[in-house]
Amino acid sequence: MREKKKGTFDMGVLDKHTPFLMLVPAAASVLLVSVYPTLKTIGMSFFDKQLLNQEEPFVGLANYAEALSNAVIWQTIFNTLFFALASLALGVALAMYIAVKLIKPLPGRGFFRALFLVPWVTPPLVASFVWRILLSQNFSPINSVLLKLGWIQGPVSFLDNTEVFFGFLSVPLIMLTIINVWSIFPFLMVMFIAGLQTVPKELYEAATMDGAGKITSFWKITVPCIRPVISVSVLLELIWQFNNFNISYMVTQGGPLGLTKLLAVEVYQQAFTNFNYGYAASVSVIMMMIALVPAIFYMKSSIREIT
Amino acid sequence: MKKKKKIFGIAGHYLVLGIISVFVLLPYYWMIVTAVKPTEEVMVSPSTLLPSRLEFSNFFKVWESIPLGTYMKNSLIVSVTVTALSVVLATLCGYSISRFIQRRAQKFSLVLMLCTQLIPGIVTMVSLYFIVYNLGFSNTYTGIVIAYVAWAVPFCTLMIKGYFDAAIPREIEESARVDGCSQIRTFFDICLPISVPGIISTAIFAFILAWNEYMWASILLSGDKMKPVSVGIYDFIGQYGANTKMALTMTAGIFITLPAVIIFGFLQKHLISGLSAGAVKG
Repeated sequence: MREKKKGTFDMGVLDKHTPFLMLVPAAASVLLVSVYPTLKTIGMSFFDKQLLNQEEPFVGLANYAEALSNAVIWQTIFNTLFFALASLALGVALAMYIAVKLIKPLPGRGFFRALFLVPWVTPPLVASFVWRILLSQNFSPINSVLLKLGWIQGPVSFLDNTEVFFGFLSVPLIMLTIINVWSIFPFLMVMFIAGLQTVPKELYEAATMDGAGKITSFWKITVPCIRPVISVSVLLELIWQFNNFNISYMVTQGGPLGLTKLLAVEVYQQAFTNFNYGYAASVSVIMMMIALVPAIFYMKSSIREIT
Repeated sequence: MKKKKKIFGIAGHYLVLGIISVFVLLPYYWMIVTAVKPTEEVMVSPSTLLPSRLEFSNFFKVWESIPLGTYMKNSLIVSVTVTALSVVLATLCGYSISRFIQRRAQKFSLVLMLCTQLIPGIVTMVSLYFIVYNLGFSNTYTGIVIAYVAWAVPFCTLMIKGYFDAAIPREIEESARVDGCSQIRTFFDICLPISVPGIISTAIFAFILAWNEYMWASILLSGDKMKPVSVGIYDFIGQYGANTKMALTMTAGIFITLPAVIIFGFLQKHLISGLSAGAVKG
């Protein structure tokens, strides 16, 4: 222990509390700018707060009742669940397939790794605009190729088809999912490559000696070895995609007929286009409650590691 | 026989990578082709896959039709400030969590960072808008910077914490401590200089986050002179419709994608190693 001398005493105390002082700015800013407004939004959801209303009467659960009895909200919830789960499933499959390919020591590995990461850093606005043109009826090179091949009679409009399957699913929603796969697979790929690098090669050699094929050793060796990486990135990505705003808002504005509207877009439009703040707050809380299910799994596994 | 099989295997490997590359590159190809097509070819339907000749006038016209320079300047000011602040806050906090996780405040901060990552941004936004407005920060850089920093800090903290955990050995710091070095000097003089790769990857992450963001900026920063590129271009598209100024929008797209891609190209190795150091530990 340090001796307490006159004059050096303050320094000693300061030194002891340095670790605490180091985390105060970050923790305080997150508490003030993320946690506090979130709690306020939850509070706001119990009030009828609108731009033109002078008063903001307490209405209890009326906003929630209004939201949950609205067919649009249910359509939006199903859209969002499909969008998040389907783009995650496809994204994970694609990212894993590429990661396994790019872990092999063949030439061009670094080049392809860098190339496949570019969608990650492309502004969502730019990506959305270009995909909107790529999937349009009149200016799409995809249509040009399909027409030339004779596979279609006239140009297809991928984003305006309003035919509905299973009560909510539509071609535009599937297209948005594909665009989203394009933009999320790079992050998953990086995580998987990082995980794959830690798998000891001897395991594969032993498995090959025992006569295990490629597919068997993938499921029996690769997947168990990198399970921690897979579960963290899948859970995080699931929650992020459930909260996704950009693709739906920028490619289709939620249309046609609300078939591609996601929850985040509904909240945004209710709050900042219709100025129906209380109602928007209640929809956003419903959204957070649904996202809580995977979030609890994530927290459980993370907190187990801390303690 | 075996050799033949191997050659087929390698050919298949590159064929698959080639097909995936087409999917990945298609938007960039179309963006560039549309930007350099002669004006009369842009609106032809069905579209031609290659321009008959190259025309670069859009690359000059775009600066006059859209105040792209102002927008990019705004984005740059915001992104650089956010990056600097996020990196400072996240590095201090991440180090403290990494080295003193047995203490209560550090445990609390770690759980806080994990939790806030999971809050949908739009939930925060609904009331943050009023808070920013009441503080008089709407339509100022200050408002958007505060929002972005608080949004970027949790992931940055976890990222840099993972890096400190995995890549920086504690032994050096401990021996410095034994030699009577203060906590703060151990951090600045011993730990920080060897953590540059991790810090760079955190910085790229924060920069790209801020540069690409649209939703919050559209609410907090919508004044004509303050708009960042994402909002500026979105409004430009909204004003003229998606199709009428397609070639100009594509050209603007090239210009706003380039900064992120260039920074990323130079530093991607750091980003990958920084992310994976934290990721592999889980």
